[in-house]
Amino acid sequence: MKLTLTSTANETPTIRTLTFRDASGGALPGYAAGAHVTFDLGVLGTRSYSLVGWHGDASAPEAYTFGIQCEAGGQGGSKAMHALSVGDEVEATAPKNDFALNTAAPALLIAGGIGITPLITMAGQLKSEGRAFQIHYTARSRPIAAFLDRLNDSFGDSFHAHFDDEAMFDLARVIAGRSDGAHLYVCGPRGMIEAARETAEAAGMAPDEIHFELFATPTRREGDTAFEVEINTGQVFTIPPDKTIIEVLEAEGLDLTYDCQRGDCGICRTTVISGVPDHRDVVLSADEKMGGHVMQICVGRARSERLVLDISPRQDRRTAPATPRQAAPAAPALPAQITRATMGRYTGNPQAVRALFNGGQVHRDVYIDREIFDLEMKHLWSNTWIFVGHDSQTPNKGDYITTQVGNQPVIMVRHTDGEVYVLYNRCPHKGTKIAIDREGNTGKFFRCPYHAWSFKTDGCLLAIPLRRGYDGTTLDDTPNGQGLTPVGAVKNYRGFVFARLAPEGIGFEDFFGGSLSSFDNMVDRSPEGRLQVAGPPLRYINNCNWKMLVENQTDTCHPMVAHESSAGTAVRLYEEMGNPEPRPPAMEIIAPFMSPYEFMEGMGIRTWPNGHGHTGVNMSIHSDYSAIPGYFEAMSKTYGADGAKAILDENRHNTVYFPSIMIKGPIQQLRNFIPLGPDKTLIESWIYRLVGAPNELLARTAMYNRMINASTSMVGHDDAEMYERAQEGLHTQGLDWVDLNRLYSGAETYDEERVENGTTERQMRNQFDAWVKFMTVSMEPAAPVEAAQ
Amino acid sequence: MSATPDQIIDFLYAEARMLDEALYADWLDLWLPDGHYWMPLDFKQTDPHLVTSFLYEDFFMLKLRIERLNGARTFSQKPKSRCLHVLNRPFIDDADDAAGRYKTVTAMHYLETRLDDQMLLGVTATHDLAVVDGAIRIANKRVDLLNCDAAFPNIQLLP
Ligand code: FES
Ligand SMILES: [Fe+2]
Repeated sequence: MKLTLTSTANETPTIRTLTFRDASGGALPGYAAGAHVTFDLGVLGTRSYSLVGWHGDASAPEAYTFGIQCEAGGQGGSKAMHALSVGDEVEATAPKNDFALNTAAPALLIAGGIGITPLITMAGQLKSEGRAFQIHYTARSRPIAAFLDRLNDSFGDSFHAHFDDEAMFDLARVIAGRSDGAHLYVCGPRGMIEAARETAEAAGMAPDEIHFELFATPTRREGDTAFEVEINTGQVFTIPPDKTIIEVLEAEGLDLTYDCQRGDCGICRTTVISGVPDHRDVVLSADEKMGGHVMQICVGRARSERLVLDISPRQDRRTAPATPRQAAPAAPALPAQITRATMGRYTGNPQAVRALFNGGQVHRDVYIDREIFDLEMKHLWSNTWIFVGHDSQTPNKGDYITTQVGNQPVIMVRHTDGEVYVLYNRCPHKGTKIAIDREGNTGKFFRCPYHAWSFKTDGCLLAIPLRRGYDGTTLDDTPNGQGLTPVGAVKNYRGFVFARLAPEGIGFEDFFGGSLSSFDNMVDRSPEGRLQVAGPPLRYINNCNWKMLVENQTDTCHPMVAHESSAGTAVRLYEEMGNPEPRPPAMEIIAPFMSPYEFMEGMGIRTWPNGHGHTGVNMSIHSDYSAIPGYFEAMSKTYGADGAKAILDENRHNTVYFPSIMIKGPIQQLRNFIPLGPDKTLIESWIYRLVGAPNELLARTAMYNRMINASTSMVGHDDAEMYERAQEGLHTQGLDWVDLNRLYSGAETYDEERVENGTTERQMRNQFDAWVKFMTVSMEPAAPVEAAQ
Repeated sequence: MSATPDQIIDFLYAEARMLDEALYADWLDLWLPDGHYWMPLDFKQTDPHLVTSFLYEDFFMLKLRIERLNGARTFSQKPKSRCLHVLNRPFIDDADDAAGRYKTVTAMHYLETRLDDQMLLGVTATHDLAVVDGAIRIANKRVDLLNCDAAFPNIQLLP
């Protein structure tokens, strides 16, 4: 039928009463409280509004009255209604009622905002029948609540208004205070209905005593018919009137990405190849809707018989920006003025940085200077490959961990393509960290907790609520519009994930070269060639520079001295007990730290280019562990007896992968050095299970970890004491240089693999050689400072 | 052999005092020889063997730890650390008077200091106690740190 608008009245700045009569002057169909009329708004689709009748049911109404709130962020339906002028005609359906009053029971009516409209009619009806009822009206504040005076006048003591900015609405109390046998009627936003329903059920109300109407864009409508959806594989699915596209496709086993299922998050945005979509979402812009090339398949339907949608069995291309993910562009060069203002002695001065290492000694500034530390983060830790995590920490799609690469917070996450991605942990909107728990599963996408920008697990932007607010802005032209920024490069080497922050730079294999043999040996020790992380890591803080820890890994002249207190005492105690067999575990793990200098010399040290190296070339303190029954057999099965023997005869002690980690192949331990400041380092000590090997090996590894590396470890106490004393000592001005001359010939180069005496400090020198290289490779000499005026 | 609640609670306070006063020889005498002092790394950890713990010390390790604290070349104990246990009243969660076995749970503040640094830890100690030859002894002890997942500096004495 056709209705003519006959009068309007503004109730509040956004709520307007519209009154319609039959366009041909005929009689209007009657309605009962709770009924609504659906208007046809052409390309905008249809909209339903509740009938407002202050006296309740109307069998032969002269007019239909509606209270319509203009939704600024809506799809345009309410705007179109407000735009009508008196005399305009609109197409509408006869009243329909999905929210009828129970004919006998007392009633408790609760309205949220504009949800008051059907409840006005209900209250009018209840009043006219003389039945008991209470009507509660909640709104954010008094000025935006429509019909207040008239509600007060009409319903007197039965009417109660609540304003969020005045006092909290106590839903539980209102429901608890209902009259015996009362039915509950709620109309308002989804959150309110859900809360009311939950509270009512908790208060013992039966489901058939609870009635509600969602005051939101309806997503299913009367008159919806079935249609077909064809996807990229050519498969065709029939979508019945009572099911959404997502529901049907998912039931058919397709893997889809979506969130809200009510058309407002934007995540399920899908390209329409052909057919005419019937949009029912609130995220697409009017242009996008008219264009007809995209739709939200959680609510949208079809105006044509078939839609052909760009959906593949795995949905990876769908909403991705057309451009492939690229690392963030390098930061624009600072204007010269700013460079100079922030420049200290070393910034933009590669010459001064090089001068800190003279071959046999290193200047104390590398350990204590804040500017050097910041430059290390910017250059050394960005240009080199830094350990992120082990891929068994994120076995399933959507699994993630949060950690740091240098001082940069990152997320490592398993994407839907099965690969591990490393992304900066920073929302491109306002900077909010996307995840802060150390591990978790995010499903198919990350959703920022601040404004719900969402991102696929490869970082690509998925959706922004109310996206059209960015139409015509520069957002899309900036990296912020692309999504979460990935690090420069990622490599998963036999389960160990490394990242290079810099978009350009040395490749993974070039950087690590022959040193990867230590990873190979550690992983090969699994009869299945696979490691698995075992529990959380030890985490400890040492108040010293990160390089002190890294240097200590190949410092073979300290154990018999610094660890005499723990290892020496263990040996003495054991002798006092008469050397009982089997040895206590502590003797196997801790006592070798007392090995004499000759042993350390014979152990040997190997160095590789770019700062990598290891102790224990010929044998090591890990060589004398007791055999574990069944292990060699399992290894032989995979590698043959000779192969197994070759793997297990390798007893490398500590391998440093400069600058970030050290691993111990024979006991599957990895120490991650995370720099927090020039004088503060966080260490995480991880252990791994050799998949397919007996548990006893893992038990020994766990024992080693706690005995040697825990904050409660005696051996750890010895080391931390030395680092921290050195950090403090280096602040003295009496002497500027730290010595690394042990077994230094004066003519060393580091561009080839070398094996030397196990007490050499060559590996420390090797590290500083690499340090200089990667500190200066990206350091532009600054423009000369202009002479002071 | 059984023990009264008062005897058990007195025992737990006395044990803490021995640690605070560094009476380690006396403290070690409280232990049954096959007991373990366990400090898990993970919240609600159940397995001391196949994942890392802070401590899972047998008698040899405890003895080594105590000897080391007094060693002439124990540089991390020059100067020495001191500690203080501030106990809540212990709960006796299980009591088997016939067998003389008791399980207690004691919440406490643990303070440890050395030079200018002092650390405060919230800890929950769970004791398995056994009455042997008329004396209460420690069969096993588990100490859970409230902030077990935090990064720590050295913790040198026994919480
Ligand atoms: S800060 Fe992340 S969505 Fe606004
Ligand atoms: Fe050491």
